[in-house]
Amino acid sequence: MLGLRYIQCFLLLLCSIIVNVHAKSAIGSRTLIVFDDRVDDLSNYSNFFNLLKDHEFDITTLELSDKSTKINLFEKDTRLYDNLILFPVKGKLYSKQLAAKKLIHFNEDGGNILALTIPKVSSDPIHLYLNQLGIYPSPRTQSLKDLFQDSNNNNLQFTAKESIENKIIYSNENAEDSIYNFGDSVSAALLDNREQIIPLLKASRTSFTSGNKTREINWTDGTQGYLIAGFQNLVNARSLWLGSVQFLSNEHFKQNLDLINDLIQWNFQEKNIIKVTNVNHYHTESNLSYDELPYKVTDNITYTISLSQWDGSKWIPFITDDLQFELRQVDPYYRITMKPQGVSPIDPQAELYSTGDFKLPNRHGMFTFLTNYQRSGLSFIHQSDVKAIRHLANDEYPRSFEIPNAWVYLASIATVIISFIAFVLFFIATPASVSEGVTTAKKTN
Amino acid sequence: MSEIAEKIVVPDTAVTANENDTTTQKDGNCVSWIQSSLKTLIFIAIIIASISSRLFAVIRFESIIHEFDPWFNYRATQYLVNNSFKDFLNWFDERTWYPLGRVTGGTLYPGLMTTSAFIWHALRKIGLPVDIRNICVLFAPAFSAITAYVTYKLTCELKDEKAGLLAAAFIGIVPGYISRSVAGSYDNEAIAITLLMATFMFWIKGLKQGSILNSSFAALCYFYMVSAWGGYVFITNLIPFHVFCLILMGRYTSKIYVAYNTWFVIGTIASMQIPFVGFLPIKSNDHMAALGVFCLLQIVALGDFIKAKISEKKFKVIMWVSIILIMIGGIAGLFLLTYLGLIAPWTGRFYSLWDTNYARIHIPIIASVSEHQPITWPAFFLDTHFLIWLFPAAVFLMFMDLKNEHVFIIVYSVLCSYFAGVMVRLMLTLTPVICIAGAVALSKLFDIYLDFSPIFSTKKTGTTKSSVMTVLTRALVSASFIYYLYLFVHHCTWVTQSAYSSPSVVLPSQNRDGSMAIIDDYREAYYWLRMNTDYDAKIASWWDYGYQIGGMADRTTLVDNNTWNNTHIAIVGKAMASPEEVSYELLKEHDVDYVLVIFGGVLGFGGDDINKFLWMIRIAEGIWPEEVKERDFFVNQGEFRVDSQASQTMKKSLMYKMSYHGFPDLFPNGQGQDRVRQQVVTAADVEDLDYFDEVFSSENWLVRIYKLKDLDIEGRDLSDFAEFEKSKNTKRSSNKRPEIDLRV
Repeated sequence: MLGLRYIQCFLLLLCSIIVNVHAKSAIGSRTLIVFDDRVDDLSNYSNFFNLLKDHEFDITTLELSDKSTKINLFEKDTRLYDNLILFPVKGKLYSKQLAAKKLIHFNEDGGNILALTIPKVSSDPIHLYLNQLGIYPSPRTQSLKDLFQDSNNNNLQFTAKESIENKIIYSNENAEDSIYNFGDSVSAALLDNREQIIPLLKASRTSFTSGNKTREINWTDGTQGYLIAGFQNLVNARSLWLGSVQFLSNEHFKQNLDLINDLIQWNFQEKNIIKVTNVNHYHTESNLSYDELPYKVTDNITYTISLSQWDGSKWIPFITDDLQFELRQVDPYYRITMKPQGVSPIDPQAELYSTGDFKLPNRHGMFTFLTNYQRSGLSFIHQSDVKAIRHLANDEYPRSFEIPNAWVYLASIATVIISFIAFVLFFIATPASVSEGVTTAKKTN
Repeated sequence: MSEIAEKIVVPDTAVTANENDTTTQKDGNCVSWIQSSLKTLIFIAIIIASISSRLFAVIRFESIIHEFDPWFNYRATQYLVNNSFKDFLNWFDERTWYPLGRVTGGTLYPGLMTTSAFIWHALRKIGLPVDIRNICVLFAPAFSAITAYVTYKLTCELKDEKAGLLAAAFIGIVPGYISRSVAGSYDNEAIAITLLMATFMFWIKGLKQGSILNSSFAALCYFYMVSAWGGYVFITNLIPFHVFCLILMGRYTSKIYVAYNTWFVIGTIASMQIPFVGFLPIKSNDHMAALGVFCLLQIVALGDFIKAKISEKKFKVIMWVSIILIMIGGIAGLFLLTYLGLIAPWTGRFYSLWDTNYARIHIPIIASVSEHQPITWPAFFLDTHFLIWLFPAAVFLMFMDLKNEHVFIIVYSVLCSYFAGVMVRLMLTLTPVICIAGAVALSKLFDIYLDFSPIFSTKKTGTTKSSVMTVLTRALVSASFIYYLYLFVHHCTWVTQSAYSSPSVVLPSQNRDGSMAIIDDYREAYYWLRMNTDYDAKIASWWDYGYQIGGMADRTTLVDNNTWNNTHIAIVGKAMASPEEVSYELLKEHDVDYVLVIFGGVLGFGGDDINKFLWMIRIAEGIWPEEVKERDFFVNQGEFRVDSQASQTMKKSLMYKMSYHGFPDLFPNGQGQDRVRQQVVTAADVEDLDYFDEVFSSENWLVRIYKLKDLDIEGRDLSDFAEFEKSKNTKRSSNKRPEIDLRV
């Protein structure tokens, strides 16, 4: 027994040591890197690969210049990799093997994708895939330029303060003045209005995308264009697009390290992962659940939900102040901001949120108890539960004698009954002859 | 046919029995014994005839619940049998009218369900555990036997037992009543006609005798009727109207006073105990006539009292002044109460009784029900055969012998003839009075012409020649009427088996060789739903199929045949009439998982959803006149087409796409021949469905079920998604700047 405890402690210690070095993905670490030697040399990115290895990613590299290479993302219906990194690749063969449909399938199945494009090479499948997500990188002929920057080496640099769009993913709050270098061959993208797109880094005001031909229309102008954009689909798999390969190269690696680290962590699901561990609603007074005592109109109900987040090694309570609960019947009847109640009593890894006591509307029907928490950068949470709220039964209304207004009517009923009985008694008791005499007298008038 | 033969013998024996009144006591005993045993025999024959003719449906098809409404009644009965009566009374049904739910316990007439539950429990008590389904299926035939007996008693009050027996035989087999009471037709009307006759029978008895007891029975029957059928309003208006006529005819007696007051007070208070009726008897205008006559009767009674006390001249003055005052006060009060909203405004159904076009223009939901259409002339003959021409003769005979109860029958027949002309379903209430009147007329005829006693008496008085002529004419007339009776029986049997015995859940058809085949697509589809979908799945379909889906597939529906919420029905109508993307959003908003449509184009079944489509459009247009326009569904010539000339709105509508999805592929060269509308639908006319997946089509494509696709995981429109899925893998990415709304 004691020995087991020791082993447990030791394992925990070991885990914490590893975690302190680098975080781990919440879903898995099998990573495939697709690369083409004809476009660039793999050794230029050794620092980036070392970073991935530090993150405990289990890396497989596929070199595509050799035509016999086969890319298999799936074995039958089982996904073989959790993460996919796509460097720009040339050639038609590749567009069949890594067709946009396959990439979509991979992503919809829960795989994360990091896609890179550069102006020099047009990788059709990657472009088509990104277009499906609503990200439109500039085409082959066009590249991003900024004539106001120092043009001694043609490198494009952007400051965090001006260009970083999403503060949830970008964790380094103190480094507002840090500058990121994207090299000299950069493509910018147009983004559509889809809410799943997370713009991360936008182009500077003085930049534009243009090609060699003069008649061509600029793909982007100024801050229309983006250089990095994330995308999270409805099953919470994440895609990331980078408009530059040199951004990851050894040459600029040190300068860009903190941003690269953030992007990797977000893209491959090491951070900003939240989940619901428990949902509950019950009668406030009696603590009875719906199954024990179905709800009826104007009951007092409490709704609670517990949320955890992944900190890179374990699940910890997730704390926020903008979590809302909705009670809907097509339209919302209630929208309550829930308050954190501290660590959940049944699950120490989760934070408990509660609406507090609220009264169900005076309307029967099927109602949806809904938590729909969708924030750019965090995992989406959509937790719904449809329950019937019944009307009052025939004996659940107040009795007539409990209502003061009804006393008038009760009294009048009683009066009628009593006076009728009195009349009948009086009628029976009175001798018949008395009335006889009167009628004959009247008739003759 | 044997029953009829026996029945005709009865008047004969009865007449001879009357003649022999003066014979000895012993002979009289013997005759009355023969009479009553014959009567019993006749009744047994009538009961067998009326029950067995209703069993065609079970024998030719099987023992199932028919049509639409009976499925709800059956489901409610099951609920009552499985739960307590209190649960039933407070039943909140969350599986219909999603997401509104229905307070079913408070919005149904519980008489039918409680009666069958009572029978079920009683049978179990005596050791006969019968399945509740069998009780429900055989409920209507059993009650038709009781109807025959009650009609007999009622007609006895009007004429005599001979007419009574004839009426009982008629009501037992007349198609107008069978149409709503075949085995499996477990509907409110099945029990309501029995109660209707019982109420009238007790009412006439009470009126004749001024008996409190009989009037109380009438009130109790009325209460039972209120608990069973919404048509109770007919009684609520007919009895006061009868009393009103009697007062106008100057026939006021204290008997009327006693009978009416007893019936009205007990009946009204009792009817208010039904949750669905509640305070309607003092609020709704449908009940105002009864209340008005009640007040009038008090005034008349007072007048009668005063008249007995004072002289004629003074009384006339008092009478005129009070009549004028009452008229003014009554009308003003009625206006004021309606204006203040204290009493319900005249309902749409009420208006449509007077103006057949009213509903079509103002309330499409009422007009869309086929039962609410005006009747056609042949239907009268089909439903009552030769009784329809005996009927006016009988009404004339009633005028000849104008007693109070005859006034009742006259009033009943006049009112009902009119209403049956307006609404097909009211034919049901007309049929009993036709049977009664026909029986009275026929028995009067037989009284004279079936009396062959002159043969025996001529020896003493008249000449042989004249007596032979008399006998000859009598024999001729009697023979011809017996032949009519034979035709009547023949006709009833034929109509019953050919027109009224189809359960409409399964459709009869014929194979090439003429043998009978059964089209069972409905049950096939409902069974598929029951077996292959989630228990909580929500099914959207036109409201006609709501009860069946609830009963047979046991799935939640959006709308059903209890059309209490017009807006909710309009939502389904709008979804069917709109283009896919609009419908998809609307249906998703209501958590719909499957959409069910009925399509008869393959089979040639005329009652399908495309033929009902105009009603869906009209109902939706009533709520969203900007979004759904009836005109857009017609081509320029004002035609409603489904082929290549159909309007664009029509082709884009969800109903069209769902009905014809894949239809042209069934035919060579993609020339789909729609067998209902006799038009050719080609593959080019039917656009693809992007937002829905076809999951089931029944054997003859009668029922088609579609599933709403899930939202795209990548957040695309499903039409974009479908386009992408269709594109080739080798497609190049475009160098053209996309036309998108840029981020703001």
